Order: sequence, then C-alpha cells, then structure tokens
Amino acid sequence: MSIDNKVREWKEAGLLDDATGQRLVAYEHERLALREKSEHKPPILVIIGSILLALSLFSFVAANWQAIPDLLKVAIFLVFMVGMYVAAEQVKTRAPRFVTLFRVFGIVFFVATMIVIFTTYNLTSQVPLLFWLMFGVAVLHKLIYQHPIFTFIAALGGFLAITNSFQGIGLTLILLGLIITWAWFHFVDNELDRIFAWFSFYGLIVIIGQYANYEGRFWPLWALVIMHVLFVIYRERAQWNYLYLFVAAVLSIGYLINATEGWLSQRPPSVIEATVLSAALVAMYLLHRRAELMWVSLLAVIPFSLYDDSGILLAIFLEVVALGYLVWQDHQRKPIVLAFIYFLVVQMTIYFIYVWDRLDISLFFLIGALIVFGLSLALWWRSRTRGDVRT
Amino acid sequence: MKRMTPWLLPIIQVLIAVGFVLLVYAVSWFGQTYTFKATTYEPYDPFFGDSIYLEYDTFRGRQDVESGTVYVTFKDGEDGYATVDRVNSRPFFGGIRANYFDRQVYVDDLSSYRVTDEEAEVIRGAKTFEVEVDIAPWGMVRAHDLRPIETE
Repeated sequence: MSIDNKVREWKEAGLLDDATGQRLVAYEHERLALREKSEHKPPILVIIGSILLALSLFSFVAANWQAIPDLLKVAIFLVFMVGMYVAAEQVKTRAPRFVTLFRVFGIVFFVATMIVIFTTYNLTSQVPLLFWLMFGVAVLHKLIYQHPIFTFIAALGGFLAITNSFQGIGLTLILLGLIITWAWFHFVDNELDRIFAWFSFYGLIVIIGQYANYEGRFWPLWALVIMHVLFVIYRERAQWNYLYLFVAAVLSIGYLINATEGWLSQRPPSVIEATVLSAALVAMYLLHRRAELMWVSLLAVIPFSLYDDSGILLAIFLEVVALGYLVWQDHQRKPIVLAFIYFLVVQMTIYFIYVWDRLDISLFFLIGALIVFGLSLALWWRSRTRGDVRT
Repeated sequence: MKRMTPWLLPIIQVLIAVGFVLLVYAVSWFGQTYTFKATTYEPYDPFFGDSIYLEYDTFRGRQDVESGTVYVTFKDGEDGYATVDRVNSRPFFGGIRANYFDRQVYVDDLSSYRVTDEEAEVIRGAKTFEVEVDIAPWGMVRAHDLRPIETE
C-alpha cells in the first residue's frame, strides 16, 4: 500500500510521530474500504446479460402484440410506468441525477399507456383528451417534483392540447383545461411557468370563442381584454405584463396582414362591437395605469381601421406606433432591441403587402435586403452613439 | 403524508388509465346497441394491419346542418339497420361527435374496426357486413361483432 510506505517515509524523516502515523494509516484504510463498498458495481457480464434479456423480452412482446389480450397490453404498459417511479425512488439516494430521468420516463409511459388504450379500443376521436391528460400530469409533476424539465413538458402538452382542440371541444374539456392552467399559474412560483401558463390561458380563451360560435373578427382582441382579469387578481406578481405587449404586437401584425384579405374585409365589423372593444382596450389601460399597457391600448384603433378595405390606414397607424415605441424606449433608456425588431417586422410586412405584386422578384428581394441593411445600420449607429454618451 | 407524496402521481396515473378502460367497458354496460350495415372497398388483409375500413350507407344523404363537426344520434330503421336520427352542429346530450361533408356523415370511431382473431377467419374476402355498435349516452361508441352478410 502506497499510504503505508508514505507514512513510513515521513516517520523516518522525522515529520510524523508514531501515533499520528498509525492513525493516518488506519484512517486511510477505513476510507478505502468504505469507498470500495459504495462503488461496488455489478460485473460487466451481468449488465450485458440484462440488456440482452430486456431486448429479447421487448421483441417477444412486440412480435406477439396482436395476440396479447387487450387488458394485458394495458397492464404491461402500466407496470412499466409504475416501475419507472419505483426506480426513481430507489435511485434517489444513490444516483440522484437519474431521478428526474426516470420520472420523465414515467410520463412517457403514461402517454404510451393512453395511446395503447386509445388504439386498442379505437378511440381516435378522443385524441385531444390525450393531450389534455398529458398537460395535466405534466403540471402535476411540476407541482410535486419541482424540476424545470416538467415546465417544458407541460408547455408542450398545453400547446398540443390547445392546437388539437380548435376543431371542436366540449365544455368538460374547457373546464379541465382552465383548472389545469389555473393550478399551473397559481401554485408554481416561477416566472417561466407563469409565462407558459399565461399563453395557455390565452389559447383557452381563443378556443372558448370557437366553442361559443363567435362570428366576428375580433375574438383575439377580446381574448386579450379578458386576459386583463389576471392582472386584477394577481396584481402583485405582474412581472409578466410584457406578455400583453408581445401578444398585442403579434396581433397588430396579424391584422395588418389580413386587412387586405377577404377574411377580414368581406364582413365589415359591427359598429357597436368595434366601439365597445375600443372602449374596453382603453379602459384596461386607465384601470391599471402601467406604461406598457398604454401601447396595448393603442390596439383600440384596429376595429375601426378595418372599415378601410385597402388597409392603408392601419399600415400608416402601425408605422407611427412602431416608430413611436422605438423612440419612446430609446428616450426612456430601455433596451431597444425588441422595439427595433417590431419596427423592422412592420416595415417588412407593409413592404411585402404593397410591393410584392408590383415588382420583379429579384428586385423585390434586393430592395428588401437594402431596407433591412439600412435599418440595421441605423440601429448600430444609434447604439454606438448611445454608448458614447454614457461613457 | 410527506412519505406518500412521490407516489401520488403514479397512483393518479394508474387510476386515470384504469378509469378509461372501465369507461370503455361501461359503453357496453350502459349503452344502447344498434346494428349497422357496413361496406368496405377492400376486403380484410391481415398483412396491412389488424384494422378494416368501413363505410356506412345509412350515413349518406343531405342533412340540414352546416358541414364540419356535427353531433348525431341513431335510430333503428325499417330494414333493421340503424340510421341517423338527429344531427346538430351544437353538442347535445347523447350526441356522438362526427364530421359532415360531401353529404355524408363520418363517425371517426366507427370508420375503422379492429378485427379480432376469430373474426379474421369469418370475414375473409367479404365486402358487406353487419356490425353491432354500443352507443353510450356520454357520446362514446364501441363497435364489436363484425360478421359478413351475403349480398345478392
């Protein structure tokens, strides 16, 4: 043993006395024994053997899948699912980094079990329910196990559930979705979770409009107005107010693109609805008095701008707003990157709408690229001079 | 309670799965059984999977609804086979979700039927069938007992 030699060497050199040397040797041996005990690994052959056994079991089950009774199929998957959670609890003390992996496998096997049930009993029309269940259990995982990965699984489940429910959804699923999303929003104290939950709420409200057979063109705007209820209830945790701004920006671009298309211009909006909506949007700003919401309340112009088929009014308006927001952010000494991106997107959208049909394609892209280049140059120059002023 | 928390989710998930299977069987326990007449373009071939695509003549015909998602109920027709009874664009109690376009109602859960091993022998080569369908009041369907009928 090297430690024995080392200690003897130190003793001979007069660095250690006998008693200390003996204690050192004893301590090192004890530690070595402990480490060997804890690092006791199964022999490599056992590992290879168990992998082969698992593979052969898999292929046996797969080959006889059609012959297995329905209930047994479901039971096999359920056993695997429970096995994952048991494994997660087993490795908790010995290899903590695998715990979450096993729990994620738990969700995967749960979804797999439900897929087996849905295909075995031919329930293809219930697929949206599958995604809602996935969303629900992912949120529960997040609540109980608190790992960030479940945030993303929940976000994925919520996204799939909402996008698959546009074709038709029942009242029960809407209620289930609202409960899950609310639990996510209310109980998980994490900003990223709140952001995703906020978007789930928004998607759900849009779906409710579908369910209620809303015929007009303003439901996305109404949904944004309704979302302000969250502001009233969760006033103190309102770090996510920029989400309203983000959705407002996306909606403004969406309405601008569609302003000249049949979808919007075919059916002129009712004056009463447009007025009420505009009033509601302005009222929301007056109620909360947050600077960011002022820009959201400018959406109030959209309902009226749709009376103009050419969309020019809306284009000019958004141009002014985008520029105004950019200057305002700059003036307030806040980061201007997002404001600049919005400004750029507005330019590109207007350019695309009004120039695409009138120019040769190569010229179109050349001029478009020149515009982007010029604007980026302006931004760079601005940020440079801003830096100079600061220093 | 603290010790039980990690086990809460597996228990809930097992309950959801078991509940769903029970719900499927409950369709047969509490549902009403109708006999449908179904046809297929291609006879059953086990080589292409264990399902067969079925079409229903009685689902054809103009309905007084807009095309898209509809909800339907069924009634027994004069020839003993079930036909569409009530169609509505809005969900109603007992209504099955379906699609309506091209003057035809499509019920997704009935358009493909999973053939069991015993049935596979009997229906070989057949193109016209009778099929029993249990329909639950909560809008789930469960098809079973596919058998060929002779066409004249």
